[in-house]
Amino acid sequence: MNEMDELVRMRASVPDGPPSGRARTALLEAMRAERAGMPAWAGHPGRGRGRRRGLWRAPRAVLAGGLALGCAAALTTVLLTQPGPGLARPSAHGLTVHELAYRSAAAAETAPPVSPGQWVYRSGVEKFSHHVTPFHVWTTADDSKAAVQVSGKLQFVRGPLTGLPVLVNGKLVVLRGPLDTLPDPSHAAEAFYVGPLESPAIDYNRLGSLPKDPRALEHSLEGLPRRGLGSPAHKAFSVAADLVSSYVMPPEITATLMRAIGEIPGVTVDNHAMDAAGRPGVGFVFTDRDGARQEIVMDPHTFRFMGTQSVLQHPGGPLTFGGGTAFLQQELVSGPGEFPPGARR
Amino acid sequence: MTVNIQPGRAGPASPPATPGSPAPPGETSDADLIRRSAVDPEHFAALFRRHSGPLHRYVARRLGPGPAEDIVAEVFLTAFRQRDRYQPGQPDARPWLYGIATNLIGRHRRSEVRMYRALARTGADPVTEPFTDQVEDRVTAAGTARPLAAALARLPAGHRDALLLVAWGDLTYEQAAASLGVPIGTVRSRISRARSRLRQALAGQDITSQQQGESP
Repeated sequence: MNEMDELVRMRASVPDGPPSGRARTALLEAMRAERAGMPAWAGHPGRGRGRRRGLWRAPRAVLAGGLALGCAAALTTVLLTQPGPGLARPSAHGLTVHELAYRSAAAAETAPPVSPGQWVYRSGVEKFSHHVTPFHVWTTADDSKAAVQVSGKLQFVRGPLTGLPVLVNGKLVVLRGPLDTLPDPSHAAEAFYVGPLESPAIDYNRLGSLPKDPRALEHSLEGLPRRGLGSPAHKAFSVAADLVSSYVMPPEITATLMRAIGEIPGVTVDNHAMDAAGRPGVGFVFTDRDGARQEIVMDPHTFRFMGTQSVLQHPGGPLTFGGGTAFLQQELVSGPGEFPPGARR
Repeated sequence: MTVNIQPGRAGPASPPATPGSPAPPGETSDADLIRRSAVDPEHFAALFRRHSGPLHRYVARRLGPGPAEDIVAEVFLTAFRQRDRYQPGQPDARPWLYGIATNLIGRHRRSEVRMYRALARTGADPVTEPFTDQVEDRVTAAGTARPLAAALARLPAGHRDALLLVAWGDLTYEQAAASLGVPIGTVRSRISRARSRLRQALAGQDITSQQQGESP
């Protein structure tokens, strides 16, 4: 018996190709992009001019603070009907994870530079289960300060805030602890666990010292201390999602982070992703061991960050909760209270 | 220009390139295609037609058809983007393409080993199940596949890569060395050790079979 012959016969029933249309389509797109004068994975940065910034955080904490102040009524609702650029048919079908990562990075690199104290106006919707809450807030790029308008008056909130808006007895409150600390477990069905309760794992001031190589950055993210997350890959994805939705980072750091997301083992692409506002997108997807699914949703045309989506299992039972954030407008402004052009007040 | 990158099924009318013979006689070499693609990217489509089928089969044998789709897509995208770094003196692009594939397969190492272990433990091969219709074929295949799979699961990754590039990828030792970026002596040594492990595993399987055959 010759071991090499036996090895050659092993799995010989696997047919000789052909690969699916996905591989052909991806290559075709790359060739077309190059013929059109763009690098093969440079994305389409020119299409996103209407949105100067697309990489701003899900203002979960800020919204939580705002809601805790009782200002929910001041948040505009008209933004829900504002059409977003993602409403057009997606053009990102057939992308591999790396293709999506590098297109997203290329798009991020076209964003203007930003300093930690720069103020930014952002509006969008936060979704918890079937509840959709619109918001518009001002925060600094490093998320250290936030402001909301309450009855026409600007209220400042000191950040960073960590908290979770939940419904308890029909009232929205900010939960500062794990989900199992809810005052009454019978209200669990009304609680919406949308993500880690911790602050972003990396302080804004430390962002500049992160590795510049995507793989090194991915390894670095895996090694960060994060509670309640399973595998290193799960940890890396959650931290990355937290960073892109928590800070307005310098463009080069955002770009490296996007490439690093493409290096996380187990991350796949969802060509039919949808953000919390129902806009179609293309998503980086990570599914953990328990089947909980997290997505970072990118615009299928501009490859800018649109929002996040999560479907998570309640730790104490079979209930499943979905949540997410969609950013409908995000603009650099000169200070809190200033509305950018086109903002619905 | 019409773009046609339908992968050509390597069959009798269009035989795949044999080791050391990158392109069928009369056809443009891989290196020429890559060089021309610098001017007209669509020449790269011919490289896809030529190699995507066998490459897909190689990756599918290691990881199953699902991941193979993604990896083949990524191999060709990576190759397309990095084609300016291709060594023009290498007429056959397979070592280059299989080297990229090996790097990508490395990200699925745990999954690959898990499948070998499953095959060794149960005799059922998750990779070939979709392609094996006859129960008899499955049983026959499982006969030697189980000890081989157990040995493959235990091999160091570098040894497994070298061995399978030759056994399943149809590369020569020299091409495998180019794929892995190591000296040919290293490939010889790795394959020699890996084959020794396989021999031992098969010998153990023979003894077991004999003992089972002798028992009433």
